This record gives sequence, structure tokens and C-alpha cells, in this order.
Amino acid sequence: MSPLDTVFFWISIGLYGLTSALYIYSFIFKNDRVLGRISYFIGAAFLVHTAAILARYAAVGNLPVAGGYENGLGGSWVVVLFTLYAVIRHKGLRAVGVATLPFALVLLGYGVMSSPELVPMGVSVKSFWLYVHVFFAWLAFGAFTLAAGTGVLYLLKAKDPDREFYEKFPGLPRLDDLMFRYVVFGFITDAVMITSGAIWARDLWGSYWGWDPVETWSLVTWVIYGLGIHLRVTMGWKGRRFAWIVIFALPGILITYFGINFFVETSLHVFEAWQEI
Amino acid sequence: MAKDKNNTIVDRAWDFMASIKLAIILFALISLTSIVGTILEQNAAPSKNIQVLGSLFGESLAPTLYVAFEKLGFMDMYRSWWFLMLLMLIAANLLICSLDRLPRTWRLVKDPMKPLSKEHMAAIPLKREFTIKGKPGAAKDAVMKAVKKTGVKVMESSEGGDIQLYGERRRLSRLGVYVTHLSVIVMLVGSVIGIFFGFKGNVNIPEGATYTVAFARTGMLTPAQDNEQNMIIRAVENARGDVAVAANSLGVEEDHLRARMRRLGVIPLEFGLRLDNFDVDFYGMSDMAKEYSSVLTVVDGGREIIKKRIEVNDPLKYKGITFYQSSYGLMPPGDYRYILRATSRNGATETMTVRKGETFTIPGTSVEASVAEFNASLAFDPSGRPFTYAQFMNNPAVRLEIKTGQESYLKWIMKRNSNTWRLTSGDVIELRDVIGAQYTGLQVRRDPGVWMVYLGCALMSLGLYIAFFMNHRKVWVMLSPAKGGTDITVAASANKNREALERKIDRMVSLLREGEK
Repeated sequence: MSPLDTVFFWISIGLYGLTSALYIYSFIFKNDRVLGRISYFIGAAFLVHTAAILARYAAVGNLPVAGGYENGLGGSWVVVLFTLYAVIRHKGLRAVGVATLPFALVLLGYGVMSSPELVPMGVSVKSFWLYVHVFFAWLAFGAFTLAAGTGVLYLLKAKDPDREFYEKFPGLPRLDDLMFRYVVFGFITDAVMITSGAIWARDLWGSYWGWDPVETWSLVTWVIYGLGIHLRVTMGWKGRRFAWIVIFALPGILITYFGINFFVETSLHVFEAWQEI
Repeated sequence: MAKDKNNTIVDRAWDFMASIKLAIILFALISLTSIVGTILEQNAAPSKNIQVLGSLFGESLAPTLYVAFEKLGFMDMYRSWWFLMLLMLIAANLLICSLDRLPRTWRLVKDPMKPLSKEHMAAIPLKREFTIKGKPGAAKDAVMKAVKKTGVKVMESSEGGDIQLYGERRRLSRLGVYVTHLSVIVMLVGSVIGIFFGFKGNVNIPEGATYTVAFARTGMLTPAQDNEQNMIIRAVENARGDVAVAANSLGVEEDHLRARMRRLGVIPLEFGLRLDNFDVDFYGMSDMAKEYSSVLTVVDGGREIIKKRIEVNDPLKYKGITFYQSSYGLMPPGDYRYILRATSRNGATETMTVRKGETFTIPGTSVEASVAEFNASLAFDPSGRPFTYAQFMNNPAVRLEIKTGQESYLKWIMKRNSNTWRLTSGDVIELRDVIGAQYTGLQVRRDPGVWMVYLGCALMSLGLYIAFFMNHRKVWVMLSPAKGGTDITVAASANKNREALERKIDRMVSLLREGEK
């Protein structure tokens, strides 16, 4: 990390930690007042986070699209961006941060533990398709996280619908509908992500699909969301069931996003060993 | 699917094949086996996976487990019969479930919309009822305008004194889901075409050499097969890639030769591919690669057809075959040629290509030099002794023996370090390149099914867009004469996004009521 990058990075970690703590506090003690002001904290943390990305860009010359640290930095940024979008769009949804903010914090933490060194981009990742690929991966990642966060709110509210604290949340049908919309958005962007990855892979390795671990996982998670959509549309799995699906599907996205390498090191998506492509 | 009650076995089998239950079972199986497939490295040396299994289940169990997994095909699972069967079943499930549902959807799509009876209208959940002034005939135009605002094309019918205005939009959007399902099948067919009619090989070409064959990955060859392979390669290379000529020279039928080639993993290219130069670009003085590139020339029918510098992510295509930059390496010491540029003190310059030991003169001077030694990755240890620090040509250097009338000395010249180029005499000798020292590793692919896969991708985008962003919307408005005005009943339905429709309908109703005031 460059010095500037480091400073912004740790400040944003601190702010996200604080925001997450406030969220958890307000949920445990059912405190409305804290929740009412929490958007300012998210906004501040997000600005510093953006500054960290820009500092990184200035130091290394590319957007954070490759490697564990950059993926953590970029992925959590997108998660917070989507949270902000939801908060601004639907006031009642500001509670969604109770799930997404701690998640973003974990992503950042994972990123900084993996490989924060400044490295120029490897040869294989220099492609126009990389940007398309990563951009849509971000969109899908953010949407699925938001869906899972909405799912958490749904389950909380469904369990205890009369509680005053939950009254400011959107109504259950609305939450259910939003959850579905986020999943559909994620499903479509995920499809574009996989397709652009396939096109890029064809330019790079000569075949659009090689059952590489990352490819396999991205397909499996895409299919899981696809099945969720089918269950909802054709078998009426709405509400609680759908909420559980979107929550349980998220770890698959996480594994795919970070490129499986915390399990195995055989993936071509680990780009260091170029000679062996 | 709840069809008629005559549940024959065929019906039940059909229903099961069309069910989402089967889809879930299949995808669960694919996911679970894929997890195994991502943990066990595919097509890897046994020792690697025994180690993986050992770390998961303990050293003692690992070899037994390895044998078990290997018998089940997990070491190359994505090409195993059962995995391909799972994929085929998915395709069948998708196809049958689409065929099962299509007739009903088709009826909805085919038949034009009809006006509704009052009873039918009453059964529609999304409904608004109110009364406005004026007779139905007089109110009609305003209502028509309002209905148009919901985006439907309005038709009219009348029965008794009632007037009904009704319309629909995007009827065809009901087919979106079928387009999506079809796209998956198109992709699968494309990939099967690729598997059966394409090939995936690789070839390592040394600088200066021309290849007319590539190698598909096959299992280990026996020594006899290895000999046969070499014989075939030589014959094909001598025949400049013409398999018929090669077969003739070997005294066998062309078909027989092709069959043997397939067996031995030799793919004739029908043209020659020459590597003119391979190069690695580094970031600054580091050993971190910035770009790998091969200058390739296609020689077909004795003529040079294309010359292209390929890079990672930028392959060469010719006659349906694509060559990708995929690896590189150093040739064993042999016929290396060194390209040197000598510039004398007084500015005379000459670029020359020399072999080891060949003496040359710096232009305009009497200084003579020759290459005494080559090092592909030169470095010096703390005591100043030279050694080779990498297996690749990361820092190529030649040791020149320089003779200037009075004295003779040795000097290292590095390609990447201009500080080493200047001689004590003030003359400059630059190492431009070394030809013949490196080979390029190319992936060679032919995939006649790829266009179908891409077509499938395009169809899928289209299908997903239609399925999720378009809906079939229907609106009916009944105008019945009532005491002192007209009773209006609005009913509407959509196959998705009903909330948005409801908002539209409410806006329409308020528009009509405002017109009243």
C-alpha cells in the first residue's frame, strides 16, 4: 500500500467499524434515534473509502480489479454504494446496513490480510474485457449482498411484526418485492459477468469455458439464484423461504468473488504463475 | 404439472422430467460434485491430489481415497461420462419443461384479446369502480384517452348499452422465458460441436523454426508410439503440412495417416507457422513481465500470408485455427545468433548478426570483438562471480572478447542495461537481441461451435431482458349507463410487476375523475 492509501484505508476501516457497532447497538436496544442518523456515518465512511481507492489508483495506475486486497477494497466499496443507494431510495431500508456494513468491514479486513502490496497488473489481466467483467461482477456482488441484507430485515420483521422498532421498515410485501428485484438485477449482471469472462478467457486461454474452479463456482452460484427465481415464480416460494435462499446463496458469491483461492490454489484465476497458463 | 388424471407411467415420467424438482436434484448433484472437482486438481499428477486428500482426511487414508476418487472419474470429472450425463439431463429437463408449458403460453400469445363479460371482470383482483357524469357514448373519448396512457392499444366493443374499451401490450413477452431456456440449449449444442469437431492443442516453436503440426493433449505415449509420432511429424513437416503428400511419402493411405495422427495427438495444420521472434517486456529494470509477444508468420503454399505480433489476450487466427500466446522458455544451447549494434567513437554504426566465436570489427576502427560466452539471466554473486539466476531469458548478456591492437580483454554486455555497452575505448556495442535462444508456447484451438455458444449468449441476454423487464399487460374498461351518468369498471392484469400496473391504473382513474371536476 502507498502511504496515502494506507491512511485512508485504516480511517475507513475505523468508520465502518463504528457504523457497524452503531447498527448493532440500535438493533439490540431497538434504538430509533441512532438509526435515524446512521446514514451520515455511512456517507462519511464511504467518502474516505473512495479516497483510499483513488490513492491506490494514483499509486498503481489501475482501478482495484485484481488481487485479494484490491478485490476487498473494490467489493466492499460496491456493497456500501448499494447500501447507500437503498438508503437514499427507500428511507425505511436504512436498516439494511445492519447486515451489509459488517459484511463490507469483513471484506476490507480480508483484503488487507491477503496481499496489500503495490503491484502493477499482470500480463494476463490486461484486457478490455477485464473491466467489463469486473464491473458486472461488482454490480452482481452489490445486488446480491443487498438482497441478502433485505432478506435479514424481512426475517426479523416477519418474526416479530408488531414490534415498534420494525414499524419504520418497509412493509413485508414491499421488502419481499425489493428482495426479488435485487436478486433479478444481480442475476442478470451475474450472467453478463460470466459471459464477458468467457469471452476474455477465449482471448486468453483459447477456450471460453474450462471448468476452472472460479468458473465452476460462478456458474453454481448463478444457477442457485436462478433456481431461487424459478421457485418463486413457478412454485410461489416468496417471503421467508425466498429470504433464506438469498441469505444462504451469498457465501457462494463470496467464494466466487474472492476467487476460491482461500481453498485451493489450482485456479487459473490466480494469475501469478503465468508460465504455466 | 397437474394435467388430466390418467397417470400412465409415461405421463408421470414426462411430468418428472419437466419438474423443477428434477432441476434442483440435478443442480445439487452438479454443485456437490463441482466442489469436489475444484478441491481436487483436475488432470494433475497423482502426488498433488494425494497430498490434498491427505491434508483433508489424513495421510493414511489418502492413497485409498485417491484410488476411489480416480475410479469414479473425479480426476478428470468435467469430461467423465456421469458429469456429461448430468449436463445432458439438465438440457433434457429444460427442454421438456419448456415443451410442457409452451402450448398454454402459446394459446395466450396466439389468441387476440377478447372483451370480458361482467362476471369475468368481477373475478379480476385488480379492479376500480366509480361513476362519472354523462352517457357512456359521451364519456367514451375521455376514457379512451386515459386508457391509452397505460400503454395499451385500445379496442372497442359494445353489447346492449354497455361499451367496453380494452387493450393489451407486449403479448409476446410471455415467450421470454422460452428464449432464455432455448439459449442454454443452444450453448450446450455449441459446446458439444466444439468437443466433437474442434481440437485443443499446443505447440512450442523455437525462434526461426516453422511448424506444420500441433499437439493435442493425450495420455502418455509408449516408446513405440513416440517413435511413430516423430516419424509422422517429420513426414508432415517435410511435406510442408500437406497430409496427402506425407501419407504418400510414408506409403500409407491418407485416411489411415489421419487416424494414426488422432490417436497419437498430432494435428496437421495444413500450413506452416514460423516464429520470427519472441520477446518479454519488463516493468523497468524489474523481472516482472509487462508483455509477452511472439512475431508469427503464416506460410501457406510457399508464400508468406500473414505476419502478426501476438500477445497475451491478442491471438492470431488463420483458417479457423487460433494461436494464443500461452508460455515460453529457453532452448538448450545451440545455434544462437546475437544481434549486435556497434557504434564507433566517431559515430559510424553497423548492426550485425554473429554466432559465438565469429570475429567482427567495430566500423571505422581497428577494434575487433567476438562473443565468448552467453548468459540468459546474468547476475553476479558477492565475490563477483557470474551466475545464471533464472530459467528464463530475464537478463540476456554476452561476454565479448575485445581486441584493440595493444590489449585484449573480456567484457559483459547486458541487453537491458545500457551502462554496460560502452567500451573503455569509447566505442559502444549494444546487444539488441538473441535469436534462437527462446521458444514460444502457443495454445492451438479450433472450435467450430463457438459461434453457437456466442449466439446462445446473445439469445440469453435477449431472453432475460424480455423475461424480467417486459410484461404482458391487459386492461379492460366497462362503461355502463347508470342513473345520472356512467358506471365505470376498470380491471387490469399483468403477468408480472403488478404493483407498477396498479400505480398506472390509479393514475388513470384519478385522471378520469379530475376530468369530471
